[in-house]
Amino acid sequence: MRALEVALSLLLAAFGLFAAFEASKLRSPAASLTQDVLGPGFFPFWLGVAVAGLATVGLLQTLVRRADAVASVGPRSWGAVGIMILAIVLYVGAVGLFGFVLATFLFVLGTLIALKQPVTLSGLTAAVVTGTLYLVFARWLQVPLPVGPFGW
Amino acid sequence: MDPLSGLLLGFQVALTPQRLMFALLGAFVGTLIGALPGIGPVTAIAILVPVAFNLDATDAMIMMAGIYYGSMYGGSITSILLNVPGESASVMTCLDGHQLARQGRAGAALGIAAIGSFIAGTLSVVGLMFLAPVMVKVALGFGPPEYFAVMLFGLVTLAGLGGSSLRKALIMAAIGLLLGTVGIDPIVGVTRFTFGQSFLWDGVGFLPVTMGLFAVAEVLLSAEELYRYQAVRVRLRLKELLPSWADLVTSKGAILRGTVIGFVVGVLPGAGATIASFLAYALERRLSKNPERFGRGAIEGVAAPESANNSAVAGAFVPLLTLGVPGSGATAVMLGVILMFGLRPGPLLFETNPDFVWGLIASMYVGNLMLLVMNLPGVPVFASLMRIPYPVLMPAIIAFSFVGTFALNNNMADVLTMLVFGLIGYLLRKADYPPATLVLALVLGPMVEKALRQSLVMSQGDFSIFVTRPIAAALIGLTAVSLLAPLIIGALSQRPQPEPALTAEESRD
Repeated sequence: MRALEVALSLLLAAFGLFAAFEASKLRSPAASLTQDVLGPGFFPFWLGVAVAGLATVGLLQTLVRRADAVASVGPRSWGAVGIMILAIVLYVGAVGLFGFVLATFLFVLGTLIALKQPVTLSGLTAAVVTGTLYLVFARWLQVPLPVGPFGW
Repeated sequence: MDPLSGLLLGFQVALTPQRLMFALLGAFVGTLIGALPGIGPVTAIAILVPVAFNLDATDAMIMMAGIYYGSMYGGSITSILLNVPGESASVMTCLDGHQLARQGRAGAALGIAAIGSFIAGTLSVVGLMFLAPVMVKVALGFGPPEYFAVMLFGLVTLAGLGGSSLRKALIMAAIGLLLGTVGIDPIVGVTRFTFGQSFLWDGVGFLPVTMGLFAVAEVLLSAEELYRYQAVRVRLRLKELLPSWADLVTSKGAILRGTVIGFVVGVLPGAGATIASFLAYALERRLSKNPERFGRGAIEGVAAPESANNSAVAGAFVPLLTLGVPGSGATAVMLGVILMFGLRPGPLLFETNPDFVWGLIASMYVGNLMLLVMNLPGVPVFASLMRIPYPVLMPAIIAFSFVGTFALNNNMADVLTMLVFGLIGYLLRKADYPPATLVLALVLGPMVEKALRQSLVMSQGDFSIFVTRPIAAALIGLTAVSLLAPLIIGALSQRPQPEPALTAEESRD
């Protein structure tokens, strides 16, 4: 948890500085930051500074706090998180290749089997979820969902 | 238009078979999703936005208001039966509701929650109906400095009240505002933070961000605790769902006080259902002749927070409709939807689209009644949802979020945005950064910046315009108080106490 707090504070501080730097390019060359209050860079510049400043305060607070003062996490199913992240990334990639219907069916089926659910329940869930989404979005709402090599 | 004429118009709009169906559908689906453990109103509304977006604006908002109400009630089902609050506004319901369930009185707790929600929901819509036109008159005198001040107040209040750390909430607010600046600058027309990508010219869509931060992140967080939500078999019979006459008599004061507290707190930008339910519960405990019953199955301990959180829903519509300033994550998503329809919430909306506004208000009366009629006999059905193993829900939520986000513009860029914000949201939520503040800031961002820059154009760059106009100055003052109060209270609470005269529990009261 402490490592996550430190890493996030660093990332947020870097993000804030990057935003402020990019925003500073938007002000007119003749104006100083304080004069350019009406320009497109003024608002995001100070927001970037605020994010960087607040994240730095958080970083310092985390570093000076005793390690045991930061709440630890209990036992977690990290494997399930990994499976979900991998499955989502593969799913987003697979939709372009196989089309929405087949990719969604395989995503739901594969994820449930990987999460140790019974095969019959997994197959049934995959069919119901895919069928419902297809009927609601493709047929009722006429959304042109991505199609695969089979035309669906 | 006076409130009664407005309501008459509203009923003409709302009482068509099609709109009654959308109100019923919203209340039903909202309860269904709200009854799933760990899924709150914001997620429920967010994943159904794409469906709403394919409808007419009035139909869509009627359905979304039904989802909002329904999911609030659905959250109480999991709180009472499983001791798992669907979202933060249901936390207080767990305390006594689950105790009642353990004593074999789950039906009475669910029944009083439904009746309290109905009474509070209906009375608070009356409040909305009469207060909204007054607010509209006040808001007509607002210029850019007042709008900037009221939006800042809403953001800071939400940041101050919403999470465990003010600093983290302020970071989320600032990032939301920053994301709101992506795209073409509304005043001088240059592109900002687009990095040559044309899909960013229109800005970062609030829907992919919301779906990522709530739906995808929620699934990943739930995956961590995959086996926490055990499938539960709950048997409830209809006659067990009706609270006794004694329960009703005991709860009537709690319901009425909860209604008032909920409405008043809901009206404040940035506060909302969670604070309302906490305050209502604390008040009932303080007023009770037997406060020791609270936490051990007091029926008022269910009636008060449930009434308050439902009443806050109608209260939150007052700033949303009259000022265009949402008071919570759920109303922020709704504001996003209203803007996507090309409507501009604010005082002029009552003039330009009275059928929309009054149709929505009238549908809330209808929706509340539907919720009561549907929920009392429907609770056994909703409770049976808890028999679905949680892993089964996870890929289904992802698939729904995928197709919903894709349907927005029929492109994969939105889906990728959702994916990225899902992963970011997972990490942020693990570290207790509140995502609702980011969503609210993202929706308000362009309006905040526009109001700020218009104000500075009016004053030729002089920031004193925000303290020389009375309403703006008062709102800026309130913002400063909201910002400083937690810091001062925090500093004072860390000072050593001379005598430990109170227990921790008493001092919280």
